[in-house]
Amino acid sequence: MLEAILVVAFGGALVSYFLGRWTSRIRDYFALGVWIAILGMTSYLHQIEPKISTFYPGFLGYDLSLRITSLSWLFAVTVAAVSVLVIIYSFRYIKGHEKRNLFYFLLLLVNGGMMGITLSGDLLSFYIFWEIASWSTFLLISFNRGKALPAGLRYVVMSVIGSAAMLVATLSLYSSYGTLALSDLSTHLATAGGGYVIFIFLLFFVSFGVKNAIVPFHTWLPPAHSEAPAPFSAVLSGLLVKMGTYGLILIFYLIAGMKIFLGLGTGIWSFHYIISALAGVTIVVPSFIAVLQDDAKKTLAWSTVGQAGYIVLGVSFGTGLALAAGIFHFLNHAMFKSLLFMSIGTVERKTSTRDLNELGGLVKRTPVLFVVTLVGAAGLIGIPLTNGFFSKWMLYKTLILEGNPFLAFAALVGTWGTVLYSYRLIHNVFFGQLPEKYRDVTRTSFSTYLPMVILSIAIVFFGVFPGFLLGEINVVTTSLGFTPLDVQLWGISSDSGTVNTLNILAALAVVGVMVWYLFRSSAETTEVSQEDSYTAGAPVPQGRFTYTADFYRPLEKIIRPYLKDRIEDFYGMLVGFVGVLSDTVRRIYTGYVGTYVAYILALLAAVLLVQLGWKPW
Amino acid sequence: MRDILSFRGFVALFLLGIIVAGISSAVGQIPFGQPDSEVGQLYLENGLQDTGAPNLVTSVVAGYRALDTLGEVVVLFVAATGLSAVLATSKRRVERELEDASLVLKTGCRIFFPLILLFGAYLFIHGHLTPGGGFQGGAVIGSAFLLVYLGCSGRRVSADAAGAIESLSGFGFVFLGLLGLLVGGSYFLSNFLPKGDLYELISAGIFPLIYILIGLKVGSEFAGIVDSMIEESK
Amino acid sequence: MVNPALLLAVPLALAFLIPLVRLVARGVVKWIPVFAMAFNFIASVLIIPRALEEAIVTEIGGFPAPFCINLVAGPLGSILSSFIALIGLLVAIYSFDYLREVPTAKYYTMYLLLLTGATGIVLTGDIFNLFVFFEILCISSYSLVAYQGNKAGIEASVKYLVQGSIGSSLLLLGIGLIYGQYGTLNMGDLAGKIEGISSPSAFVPLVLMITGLGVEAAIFPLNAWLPDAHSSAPSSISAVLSGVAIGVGLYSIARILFTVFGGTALLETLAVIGLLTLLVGELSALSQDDVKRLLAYSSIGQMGLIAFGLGLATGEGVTGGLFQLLSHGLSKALLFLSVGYMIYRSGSKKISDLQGSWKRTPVASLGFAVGAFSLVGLPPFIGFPGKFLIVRSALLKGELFYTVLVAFVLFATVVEGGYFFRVVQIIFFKGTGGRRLKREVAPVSGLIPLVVLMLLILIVGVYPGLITGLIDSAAAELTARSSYFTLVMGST
Repeated sequence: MLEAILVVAFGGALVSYFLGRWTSRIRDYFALGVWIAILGMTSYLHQIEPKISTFYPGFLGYDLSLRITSLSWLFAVTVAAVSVLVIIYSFRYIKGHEKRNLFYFLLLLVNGGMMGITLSGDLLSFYIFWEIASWSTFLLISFNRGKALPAGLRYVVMSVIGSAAMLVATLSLYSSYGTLALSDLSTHLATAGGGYVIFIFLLFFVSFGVKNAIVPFHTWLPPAHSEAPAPFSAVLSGLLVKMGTYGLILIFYLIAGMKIFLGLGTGIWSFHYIISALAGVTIVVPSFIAVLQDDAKKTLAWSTVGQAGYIVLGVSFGTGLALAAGIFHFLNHAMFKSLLFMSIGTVERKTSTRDLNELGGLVKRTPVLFVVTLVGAAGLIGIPLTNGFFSKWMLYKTLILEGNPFLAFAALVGTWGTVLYSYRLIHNVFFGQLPEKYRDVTRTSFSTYLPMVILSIAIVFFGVFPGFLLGEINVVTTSLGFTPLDVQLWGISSDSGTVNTLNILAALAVVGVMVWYLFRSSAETTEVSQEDSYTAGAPVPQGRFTYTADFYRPLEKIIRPYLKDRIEDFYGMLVGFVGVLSDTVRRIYTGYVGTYVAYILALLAAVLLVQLGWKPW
Repeated sequence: MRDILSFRGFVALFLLGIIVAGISSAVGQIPFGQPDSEVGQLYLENGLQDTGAPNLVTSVVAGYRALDTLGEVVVLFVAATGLSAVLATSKRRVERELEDASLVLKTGCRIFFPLILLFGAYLFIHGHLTPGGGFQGGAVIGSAFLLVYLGCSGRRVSADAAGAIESLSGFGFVFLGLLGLLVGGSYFLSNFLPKGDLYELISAGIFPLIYILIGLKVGSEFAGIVDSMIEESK
Repeated sequence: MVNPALLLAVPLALAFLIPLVRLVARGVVKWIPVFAMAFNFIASVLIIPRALEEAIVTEIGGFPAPFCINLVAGPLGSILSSFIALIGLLVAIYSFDYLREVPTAKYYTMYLLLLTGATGIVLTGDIFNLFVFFEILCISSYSLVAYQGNKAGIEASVKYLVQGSIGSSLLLLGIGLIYGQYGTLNMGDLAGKIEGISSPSAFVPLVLMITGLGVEAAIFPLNAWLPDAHSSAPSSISAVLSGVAIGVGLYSIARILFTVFGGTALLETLAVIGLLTLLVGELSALSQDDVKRLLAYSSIGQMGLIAFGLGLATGEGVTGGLFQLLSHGLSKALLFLSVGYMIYRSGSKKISDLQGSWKRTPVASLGFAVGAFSLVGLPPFIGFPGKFLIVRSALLKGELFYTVLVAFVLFATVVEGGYFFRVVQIIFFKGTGGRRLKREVAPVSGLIPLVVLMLLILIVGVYPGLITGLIDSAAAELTARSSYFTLVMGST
């Protein structure tokens, strides 16, 4: 079954390419069919006994194997589900674009690679699928040309650095223990020395941190996410980045085990606390950088960095509740961030811009889009009765319970930023005066709406019934050695308090009734057109009459000086250094034969000299 | 002198000094003058018997190390082909006035040309008996053609004919080797013909044949090289 | 059974015949290298199973072992000769229409001789014979580099000639010293006679030979001829030079070092020099704007990686090095051929002029991407197992020294990724910009080798087990000195 999933995924990618050379319609439906089949197969594996199967015996002396556990199932099914939605969304989005076949091929390849990552049963298969996903991601990021090229290059160079680190860690584990199977490694690493474990952890952390865009490895993400084609931005943000999260969980809790992971160092100098602190930085700074962006997709991209910080904070904090919160937030983020990228992608497709200062007033032109974006933003902020509320609640809860006010404050401040940029996004795109040039924006097709509507329904549904997902997550955390949480369909209870959607619903209902009553009793409202702005007697200017530019100017004045990305400067310096090095080294080849002959003689003389008595080593 | 005293000169001298010291330290250990070389000794003792060629150099060149010889023939072939290819494709041709050769050269060329050819042929046909051989004979023949170009301006070797001879004789060499593989005990280039009587012209099996082929090949190759260089300078 | 001598005799005979055939039937000429290499490929592949059981030693001329020249077709020799024949065959097909405008008979003659020289190098069991075949290889490369007759080509060729001749002289000097000292030229015989490399009588010739061979093998700092030569040669020739010729040079270094001298003491130095070569090559490639020069520098880097693998001296390291030798050969041949195809259309070697190639020449662009990804070492292409094996064996040594070296190797990989990915982006994701092309169509026959190479890179990348078994025994042949001696000299 596991093999079949991968065969279908990779075979489907190839076949859809060749189908597309023949007819694009069949290719589209074929690609969709492939991923619906994969989603079906993956769902069928729900709560199956953990099992391992070797799918490729003897690859360079290893048996490559696949493995399904509750953890990998949860990630795999998310990958499959989001992939299906993204493929539906792509139908319309990619129409009229050149290189469509290449796009489908690569998209399916990335998704297949991610299935491989989640299902692999040993570190080598993990690495192989990881690399396949990485290089196809590189091609997809570069797909849109122009500014996408440097973005793609930046991504791939950082990704190659990460892979190199992973390769060294993997092979070092192999040379120490002679195995790479995930299930065997855990028993071996228990006996390893602390220094060695930290060495391995650091290497893996570089690799997964790059993918997960944890500060200081985040610099590739904002340009990559904003320049990639919208359907792929959704995949990138919702899934691919979270493969890093999966890797971290794998290394920290499965291979090393909770005890080792939490036992490295003490107090604030312990390994997991340092990573949590990094995650805290990753929450706060990018969330406010997102506030300052004028580019809608860049806002979302920085928001992805910030949200990834929440997830990593949950994963690295080290309690069962935190881990559950991290995983839950990963699932939620996959939903609302894919949705938001899709909706902004649609806006961009309709208006050919994603500049928040240009857009406005689209609410009447595209009401459905407005509603789904609003739901997505609500989830992102974590408004009650959306899924984001629960994961964040759990995270705050555990941070406070464990006595970590700083991290809790960081998480809270991050949420302020989230509120600010989410509001700006909604306001600048949908509210205000409708600019002349967007008058004739039309509604978009069913296949574009469908995935967004499904996602927004899911956001609300899991916000009301978090128990569906929490139950699954509970199985995962329990399998990793944590005590089970007390989960109900309506919420979750812990020693210090319970959250229950029933109560929230009740409260909301009361408030709703009150508000409704208030509005009813107030003066009657009249409906005016979007252009009918009140100008206190002055003539209404034609064109633009809403103030979207410099939206948060006072705030911006305060925070901008603190948000300069020094890390990016540092990387720029490194790249410059390599460039200088390269130029220097290139000068070895002077172009004069005389010099070259001297090189030959010099080498000869040097080696002879060593032999003739002068032994420098 | 100033060049040597410069920094670069000093570095070069220094490097060369080390290299010379290194090589001489190795040369110093070679037991010169003593018949230490096992292989060389065996060639001396068994050469005549094994190959039937009184010229031991020939028995090594055409017998024991025939593959090297084939290789050297190829090297020359490549060099000639490469030279003509590069000269043919390079675009720069300088037009030059040619001066007629003097009377002495013209007359001498007519008289000596056949004699040199004959001498060259002698050298390679007789190579297994007396000093000489295919390469030497071929070089002599090549010099005859050089003389023609110098003395009798206007006369030229037919490039096609030279190429054909070159090609055929080279092929003949390999073909002889393959015949040896087929006939003589499944060894490439083995001496499958009867050795004949010592000191006879027709003796030592395939050696005279090899030398004749080499002689023809080298001769036509040199002629071709001379031709393509003259062509270039015209 | 196929006699290994045929692998040399048949192409040589055919090469000699080319000038004659040209006079008779001009159209047949281009088929001759194809035929010769096809024969060589089939014959070497047929030899492989027997060579795996026991190496085939054949004496030329029928005299006993140290007195004549012998050919040794062991696992290593037969694998490499089939590899050479394969690349040769594909490039010969590629050349069909690529070289329509220049005199072709001489090109094919020299091309065939170049490959024969390479085949001779990997098969011979005699160091002087090695020298002779080296000369064939080098001289034909000198003239092929200058084949297009433009200024850059001739300049590159002359530079190559100067450095190559110095290398050859050093090699010859070394061989002379060896013969003077040990009185024999046979590799097997020498393997029995040379006991260590500490005395000057062994060390000095060894260093001379390695330096001499190192020029052809593009070891730093002996490789200065390479960027010029490989970038100004016709692309088909660059493919062979980069894919085969320098690899063969490295093979001979390994053969001399491992089998003849047993110089394990020098291996650490080889690993360090390999690493230096790798770093210098990759860093120099980073700032190139001529795509063929970029590939040439990348070849230098790859040679360094292979030398690093060989210098690790563990069985697996040597396996990794040899695997990478083959994988680099395939990938680099593919890269040069695809680039040649694009250049044929655009008429410019500048990287920026490759933009929009994806629309014009999709197969060649795909070929470039596959080759580039493979060289960077990404799965599922053939470069991944090679790099993987090398890194793994370096880490398995378990010494801090080698772990640090591995860090540098991976740094070089990142640099390599940096420049290759940039070119891939330009080829795939930049518009044509409405530039005029030199030619509107390119010959279809050039695509066959591209497709075959891509498939090979992918298939072996997915199933490295297809050849790792062979390469394992090849590595064993290279490192097991005493068994080579008994093989050639008998059990005495």
